[in-house]
Amino acid sequence: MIEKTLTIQGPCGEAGSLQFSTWEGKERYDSISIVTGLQGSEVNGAYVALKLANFFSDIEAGNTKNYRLLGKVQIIPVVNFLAFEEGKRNWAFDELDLNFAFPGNPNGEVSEKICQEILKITMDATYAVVLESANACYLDFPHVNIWSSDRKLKKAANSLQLGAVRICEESPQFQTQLVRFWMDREIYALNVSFGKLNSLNLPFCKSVIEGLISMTIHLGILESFKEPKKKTETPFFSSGDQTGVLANESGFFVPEIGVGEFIEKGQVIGRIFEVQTGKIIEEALAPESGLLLKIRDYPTVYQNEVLAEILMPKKGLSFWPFKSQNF
Amino acid sequence: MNKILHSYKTPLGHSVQIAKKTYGPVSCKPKTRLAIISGLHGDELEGIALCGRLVSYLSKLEVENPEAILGQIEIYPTANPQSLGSSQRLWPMGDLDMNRQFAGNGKSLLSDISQRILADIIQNSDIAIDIHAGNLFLKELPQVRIIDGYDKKLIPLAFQCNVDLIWVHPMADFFKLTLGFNLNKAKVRAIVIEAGVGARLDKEIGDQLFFGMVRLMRSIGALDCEKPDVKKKEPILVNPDEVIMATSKSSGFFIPEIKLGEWIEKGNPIGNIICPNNGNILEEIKANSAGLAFTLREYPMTYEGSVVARIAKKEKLI
Repeated sequence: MIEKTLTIQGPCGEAGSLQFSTWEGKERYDSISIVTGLQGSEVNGAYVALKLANFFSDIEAGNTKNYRLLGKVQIIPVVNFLAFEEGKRNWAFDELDLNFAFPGNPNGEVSEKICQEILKITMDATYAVVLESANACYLDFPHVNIWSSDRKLKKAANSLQLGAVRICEESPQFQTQLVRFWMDREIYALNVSFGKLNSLNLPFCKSVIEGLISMTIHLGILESFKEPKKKTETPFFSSGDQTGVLANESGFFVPEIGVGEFIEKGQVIGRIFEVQTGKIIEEALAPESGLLLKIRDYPTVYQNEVLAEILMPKKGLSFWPFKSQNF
Repeated sequence: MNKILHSYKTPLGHSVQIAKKTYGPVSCKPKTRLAIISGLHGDELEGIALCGRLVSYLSKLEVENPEAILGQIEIYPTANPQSLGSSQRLWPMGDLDMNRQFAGNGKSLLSDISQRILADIIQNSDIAIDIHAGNLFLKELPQVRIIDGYDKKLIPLAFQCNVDLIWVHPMADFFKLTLGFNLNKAKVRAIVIEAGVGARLDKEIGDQLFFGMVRLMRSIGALDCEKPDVKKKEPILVNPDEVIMATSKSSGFFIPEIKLGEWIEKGNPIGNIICPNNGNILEEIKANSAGLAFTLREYPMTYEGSVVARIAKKEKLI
């Protein structure tokens, strides 16, 4: 069922509205809210949302015998609907990053109203996932971020079957974000980051779609009659297990490797060229061995900008459920 | 003395510098140490122009009457030259807000610059003034904003700044990311001034703040110069529960009926929202409290919930 909630009137009529869809099983099980499009150019999230909407509608209509919905699934495909229709990251009118506007205000400016409405309509969820991409200068390998070591949450994160799970620390920036306010409401909250803004990455979207279906099965919200897939073990990383590679020079960065690859210490990540001469002015090397989680995907680079982020496996790295393995 | 705080090259090899200008006493230890910073947002021009004027004033004083400079005064006129060059509030590459980078880890150019500025002010100053303008929509009467809890030690400084109003406002999570909060956390007494509107300069506001800064420097013992020949404003002190927001319930064009800085009575018209298609009045916005209109919408277009004015619930001083 598609519902329209907050409708915003513009000076020349309706400017847009926040919409979400809900599918509910007949049993009373847990519920999950999948939210994406905090940024208007969050096209990967929108794609995942539309494919999942189609998937759950098919189940609801009885078009597939492979699944049965037990709990409740809610999908909000585009939060920042005004920016989405402009093809921009933030709504041009106020340029506010919605992830800095939570918890919002029902009587406030448009962006504050939207944030408040998101919290209101997701407040009954047992689990909530926000789908995000790296900003337009970077590319993220699909991974999960969580801000608690709660066992149930870690199991849910593992069930997404993505490349890595990061257990993050609560930074000051985190305090204004949607996940934090979900956690305050005792919702099991996860962030899935993959791809980049403005650019559709279908293989990454496919991983996330499959991951979210696997998670709903794991949570008992969806029942599958298909042969279960063999589960892989997701590596877990804490905040100390990450290192960034910074540019020492400004110039034109060309990466040598792609996200999701395991790289060796000293391996070339990419090169920075001088624009006028084509001369290599810097060779960016991996300071440690590990999984390449993020890479700069927009060539123009300034000194001291992040070129790459690497997740470093510790000896005896934790795999769910706490097996040890070295890369 | 001109000091380059940080310098970086653009991808095409141009050099960009974040500089500060330092003035100090010639023959004694500084009596006090003050930092004035502006331009965290590239489209907030009022503070940048003010810093330029202060540099001109202090440079002249340094030559003509160096004994008048008793404190160390450091001016950071353009903290964010990249955004100023693009005339944008945000850092152009990635649309980042510089005033949300001060609790960061320094692992990006903007975060690194922010951390360097923060560290430099903490190391070299006891008092700091961070000057901002309103955004593109709202024009602000010159005012000092203080987070509730820091008011006791900051209000005496704020009273010297020749502003119209001192607003002690409640804490919110995002303040933890700002320069002002992080300076106060590090025991530098920091006040934030808001004045004017984004992307514009107002000569009267510029004059008012200039005299305010000279007065502040005199009052803290940084300058021993002639008192500015202008009557000092007596700011009103506004507590968190004394600010009333007037917002629009309709989308349209806001046409104000009052002027910024006007004292209004309860029920007075603040302005009308008109329909851009036919000119009909969609809404008459009236003051729901008497007081001083210290914020007024400058950009006409509104959506439901847009702020059109802020009123300080106060009696007019005679």
